[in-house]
Amino acid sequence: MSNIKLTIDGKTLEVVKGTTILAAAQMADIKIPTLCFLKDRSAIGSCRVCVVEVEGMEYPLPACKTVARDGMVVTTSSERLTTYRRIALDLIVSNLSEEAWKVDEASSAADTNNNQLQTLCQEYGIETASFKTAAPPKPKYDSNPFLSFDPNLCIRCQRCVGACNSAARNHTLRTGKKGTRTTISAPFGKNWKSTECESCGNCAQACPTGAIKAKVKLNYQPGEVQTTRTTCPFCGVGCQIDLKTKDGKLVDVEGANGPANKGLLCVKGRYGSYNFVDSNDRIRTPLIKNKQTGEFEVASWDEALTLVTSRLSDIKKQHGGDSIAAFACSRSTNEDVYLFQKMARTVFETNNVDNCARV
Amino acid sequence: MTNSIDDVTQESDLIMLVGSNPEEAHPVIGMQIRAAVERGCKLIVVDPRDIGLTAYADIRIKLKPGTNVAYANGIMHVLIKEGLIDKDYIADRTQGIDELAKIVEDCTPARTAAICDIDERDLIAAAKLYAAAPRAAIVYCLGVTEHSTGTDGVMSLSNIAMATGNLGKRGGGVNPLRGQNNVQGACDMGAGPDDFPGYQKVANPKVLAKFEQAWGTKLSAVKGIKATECFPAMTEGKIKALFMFGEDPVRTDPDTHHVIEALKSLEFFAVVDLFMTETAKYADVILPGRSFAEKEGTFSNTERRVQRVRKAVDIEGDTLPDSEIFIEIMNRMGYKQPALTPAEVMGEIASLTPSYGGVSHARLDSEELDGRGLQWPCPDANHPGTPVLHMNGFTKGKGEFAVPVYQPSAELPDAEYPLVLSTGRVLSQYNAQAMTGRVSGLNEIEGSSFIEINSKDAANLGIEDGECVSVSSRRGSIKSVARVSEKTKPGQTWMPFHFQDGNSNWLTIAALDSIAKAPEFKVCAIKVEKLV
Amino acid sequence: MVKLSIAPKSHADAQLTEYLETYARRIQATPPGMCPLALQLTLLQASAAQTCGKCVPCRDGLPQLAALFEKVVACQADESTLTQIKELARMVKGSSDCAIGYEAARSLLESMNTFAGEYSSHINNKVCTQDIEQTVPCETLCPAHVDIPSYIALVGEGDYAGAVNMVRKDNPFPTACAYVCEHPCESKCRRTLIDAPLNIRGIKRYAVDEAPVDTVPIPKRNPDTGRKIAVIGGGPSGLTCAYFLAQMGHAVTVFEAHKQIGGMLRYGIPAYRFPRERLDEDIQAILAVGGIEVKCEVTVDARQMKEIAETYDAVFVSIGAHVGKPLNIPGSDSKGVYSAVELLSTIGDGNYPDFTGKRVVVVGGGNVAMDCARTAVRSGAKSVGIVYRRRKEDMTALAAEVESAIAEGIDMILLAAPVSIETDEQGNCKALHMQPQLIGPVKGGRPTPVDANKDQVRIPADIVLMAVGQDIVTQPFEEYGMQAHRGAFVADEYLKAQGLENVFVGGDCQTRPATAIKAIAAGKVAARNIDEYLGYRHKLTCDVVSPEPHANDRTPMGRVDLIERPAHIRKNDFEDVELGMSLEEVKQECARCLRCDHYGCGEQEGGRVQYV
Repeated sequence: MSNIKLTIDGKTLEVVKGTTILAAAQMADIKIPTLCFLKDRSAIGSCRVCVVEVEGMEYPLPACKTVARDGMVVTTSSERLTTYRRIALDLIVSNLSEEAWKVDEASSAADTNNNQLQTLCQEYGIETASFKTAAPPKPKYDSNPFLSFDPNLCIRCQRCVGACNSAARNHTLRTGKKGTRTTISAPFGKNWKSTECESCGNCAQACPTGAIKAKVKLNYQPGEVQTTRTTCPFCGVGCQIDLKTKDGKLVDVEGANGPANKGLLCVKGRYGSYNFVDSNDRIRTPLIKNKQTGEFEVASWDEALTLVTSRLSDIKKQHGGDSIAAFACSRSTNEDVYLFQKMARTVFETNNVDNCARV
Repeated sequence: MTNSIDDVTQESDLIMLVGSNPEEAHPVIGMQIRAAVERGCKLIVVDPRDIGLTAYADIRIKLKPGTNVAYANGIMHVLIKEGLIDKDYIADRTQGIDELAKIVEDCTPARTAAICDIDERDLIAAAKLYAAAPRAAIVYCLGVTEHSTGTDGVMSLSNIAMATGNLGKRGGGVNPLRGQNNVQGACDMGAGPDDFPGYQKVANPKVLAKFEQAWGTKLSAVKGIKATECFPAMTEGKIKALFMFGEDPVRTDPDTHHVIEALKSLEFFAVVDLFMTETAKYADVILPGRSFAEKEGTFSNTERRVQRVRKAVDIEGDTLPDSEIFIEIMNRMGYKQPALTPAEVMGEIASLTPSYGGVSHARLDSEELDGRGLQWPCPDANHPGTPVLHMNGFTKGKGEFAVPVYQPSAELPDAEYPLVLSTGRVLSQYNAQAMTGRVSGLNEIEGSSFIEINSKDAANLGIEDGECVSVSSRRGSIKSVARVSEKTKPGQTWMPFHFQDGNSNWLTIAALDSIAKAPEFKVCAIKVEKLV
Repeated sequence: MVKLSIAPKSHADAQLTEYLETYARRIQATPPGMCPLALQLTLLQASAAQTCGKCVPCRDGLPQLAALFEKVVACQADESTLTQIKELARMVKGSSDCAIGYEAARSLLESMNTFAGEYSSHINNKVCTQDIEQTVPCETLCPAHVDIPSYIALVGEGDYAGAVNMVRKDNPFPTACAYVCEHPCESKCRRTLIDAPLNIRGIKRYAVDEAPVDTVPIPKRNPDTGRKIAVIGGGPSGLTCAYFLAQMGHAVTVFEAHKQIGGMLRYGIPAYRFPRERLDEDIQAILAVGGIEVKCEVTVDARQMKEIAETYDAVFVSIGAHVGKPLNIPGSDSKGVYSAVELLSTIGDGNYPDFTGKRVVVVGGGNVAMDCARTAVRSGAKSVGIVYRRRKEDMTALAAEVESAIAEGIDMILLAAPVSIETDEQGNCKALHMQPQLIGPVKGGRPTPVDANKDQVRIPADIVLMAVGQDIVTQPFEEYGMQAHRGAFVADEYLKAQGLENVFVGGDCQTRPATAIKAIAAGKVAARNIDEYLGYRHKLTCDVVSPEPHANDRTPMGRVDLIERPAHIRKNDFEDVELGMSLEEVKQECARCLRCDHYGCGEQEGGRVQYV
């Protein structure tokens, strides 16, 4: 791979051939605003918010999809660029109802977590829509148990389309047309079950306005949650996930850019990986079975552990260690499993230790 | 996996997918395989049932369940006969090709095709297409291992990769997709009767001595038995006590009756779990466990990548970290196990396990790794990890070709039980539903038992799509709902094993592979009757 | 005193005329996949803008129609809106004083039938029909969906072999299409909005001239699949099918009735348009894939067809349309009357006729007529005339072909219907008698000629060449079990022959005589579907990647046209008449490409028609 040199805002950078202006700028910590662009998902250049000036070009170019060429001289801010970006945002918000984009603490759309449109509008001082068009409200698609689509919040940036088609490669979320207007055909309507949609929710994670939304997650503001990067507890792919906690409770999960999953998740990882944690039917105390009634009764740790160790010691004494078997959990951590087999071998005195690898 | 997910999905010119339905069982790998296919990576799908990826496949081998070894040996036969093997690689890096050649000499395409019930031309075409690809990866899953001849199935696939020089190559390899988040890690950590952590053999006196010295205690040299072998041993009274950490064999093991009978025979049964599972109901004592979100540690994924698990929440109640439970038991039973943090436990693991030698929580959390984890073998703290195994030769010197011989499944259909049942997973559910069953939306997508049956068989039995049926084997009988399609061939059926309202494991057979002791979930004989 | 002015009545009219050219180009470049109702709306709005403002129906009715129709387009209308539109449109049509009004309403009402499905989708489903989706114009309109932007970019970068392989990914006849393609790809080229469509065919010709395709290595073929497929007819369709099937690893046998393969490219198109040695380059390259066996001079009959269908895993029937339609007028069996296709067919094997001193008349207005007439000129004819029932603009031949024929001294005898052929005592053709025609009412979009109230005309002719269409020899195949309707084979859109399991059919014999690129497209579709039918979905390698685009150069720039050798020279030989571009020209032409694969709809999901 050969390298090329370019200059962005006076900084000279050397990047691999094929790098976009945006990627080059990001490497140099130069911020170019983006809206429809989402790395590894969509770079169709539809919003025109990321336009930059390139020396020798009469008109600005979108940084997200313009490949840097050797000797390019790029400027990321100018009066013209600010005007163009402002107008682009103005045009986008003119199609939306105000609560979809206006920053208002009490706004009902506040659960549109991390609303990037809001942030940009604030940055560019968009307070009113100049091109207000009166369109009747459109019905929501919300039959899918996990996902809903509200066209009234949609800016048709197609990040969701990229997530479904270029990343998840599921090809069920497409664009449609209403005459000259592009629409998002989200497969979450009444016939959701007959579509090929895998409900993976990668589209919702890609949405910058909350038009496509995961239903199960609880409402929260970005500032209210803590994020814990961890590994998904389902299959062996090892997707990296960000657990979101608010006031000590799990409220959401997002796909993180892990080496195995690259930000993607499946329906289980996204919607099944945290609800069970604090489920009402979790066993929260040791339980000992009453031999008479056959019912489990709440016990203290000491009682329970005493029972376990005394019974096991007895059996070991009577029949030897190999009359005990220990099955470890292939869902648990390496550290737990290590201690588990160490326990079996050192104190149960048996090699009858295994895990559920076979089933 | 000998190779990595990225490697297989981005570098391979061809993927041969055997007994694996990644779109449902490993969805995020499924997505990446779809991307691979769309970029032009060739795909051979070997599966008795039409899976989603079948439609994308260059070649589709819809073989009879239980005939993987015959298929793979048939491929090997063609590779040898057509001179498609990598002679230099074989000479430099392997041994035993002549013995293998002898074994597969009889595995002609015609014979193989007859055993597998496929077109012999497709077998030959698949062998040639695989051999023609500069980088060809084999990806397999439980469709290969969950047979009474599962180990042979795996070895016969490895033979193919090795004979064509695809082992120890980017974009190649033999790549099992592991079913559970840390099944790789659990095996790595010595949760197996024959191995200490890092597959150091219990049978090796030097290894035993090493662990005795490290742990400061005498250890048993007696050969242990595998979990699936334990159930008959319980029934026979050889095993009297079971300490079980988070499993639900009543639902997930084959032949539920024999599992329940075994558990009932125990003198003492202790369980650590999050929920009152079907299995936990038989316990004498249940200790509350903690979920992944409540603990620190690591998981090792299917590509041998050790990644961090971090604590996000505490839940209400009187629970203890699982590690503390084990430490407490060890101490109470007379072994002085100091209280260690998970990071310290990893330190001990690293000190005793060469392949984890360079793994530490500090390193996994470092900026250097940027959340990418470490793929073992990672022998020391400066080692970057190993994305592709066997790049510079095999661990044991020369790669040994196995000599697997096809043997039919343990239970074949007959007049009384004329259909073959295979079991598997669906996208929206996971194993015994301990986690997924608690999410109503997932149950709404797929929440109850069904059986896929070929339309010809359905017509013969007078069964319509969506009708209730009874499904019986020699071991039990359940109710389910028929899904009539062409997804399975006539004579073959398929059921997911997740659903308690018609759990296929009442039917499955506890026939075990002679080496790995994996049960034959993929083949048992059943009959299906319409319920009136 | 009244002063007269020579200035236009309205000062804007002059500029408006220029401006209209911009408007016309925009209409010409209407992107494929656009909603027809959206287009209809623009027509309605244009009509409303054209009103003089005098009469109520037009002045007030058209803007109201446009306003109502806007709702239909936006999918916000219901059945009652439609009823209101219909009622209003009928009134405007019925009571407008001039065509500005009534013609607008008429076309609106007509669109309700033409696009009934689209209307229904807008009203009932509140979205356009699913196929409304803009795609890259050139690639979409190319029947074989060749990745045109990519190969233009490759030519622009000087990678001619890469360009050839990029074409080959979808079309194994790069040379044939560089010479004789009717280039539907150019018809809606987005560059038209700025200046004029790209000369796509000219660019391709540069690539194949610089990198003759038989010298460009073909991507490696898949290993054998053990499946055998028969292709009946070795023309562009059959050979394309054979090429892709062979690439996939199947073994193909091509059965060809003629002495050589090539079909109409050899037996229909004269060498001065497509030199034989250039055709051979394409054919050599196709056969170089391996796995293709060719059996020439085998005319498949019903019995053989049955045998083939039984012994091969699948069959593709692509026999073309090689029999000239007769014109049954008195004297049409006289000596000196020939079928045009048969004449061209004879030439295909190198047997040129000698028309020295003869007066030749060709009947027909299609490309075959032009080819025959121009061949007659080159065969020494004293005079050559083309007799055609309609007007020049009604001719189905490419306009450029007609122009070239005229330049070579061929007379266009228009609006003349042949009535009879006069013969001498020996039965030799002496003259053609014709009834003058009056161009009449438009039927099915074309004006129909009717007999004019004029006397018959006679022109002397020693040779009459009939070029009034071609027939397909369906009979033996029908006998075998294939279905034909009005002389052409019946197949579904996947080219599966009706009622048969493993028989596919495509090309001229299924579409009736059409273009090479359509036949090629059918061959490709058949190959993919035969592969799928056999239980495979082979992915084929292309080995070339599309270059990164440069930013559009928006400066208007003239289109580089290919020029022909001077008529008085070229008419004396069978050498190629056309001259390719120079390097300077091709670079300039490639630089005009707007890379619609990257800019505009091409980049979004569904914007391309590409697959591996």
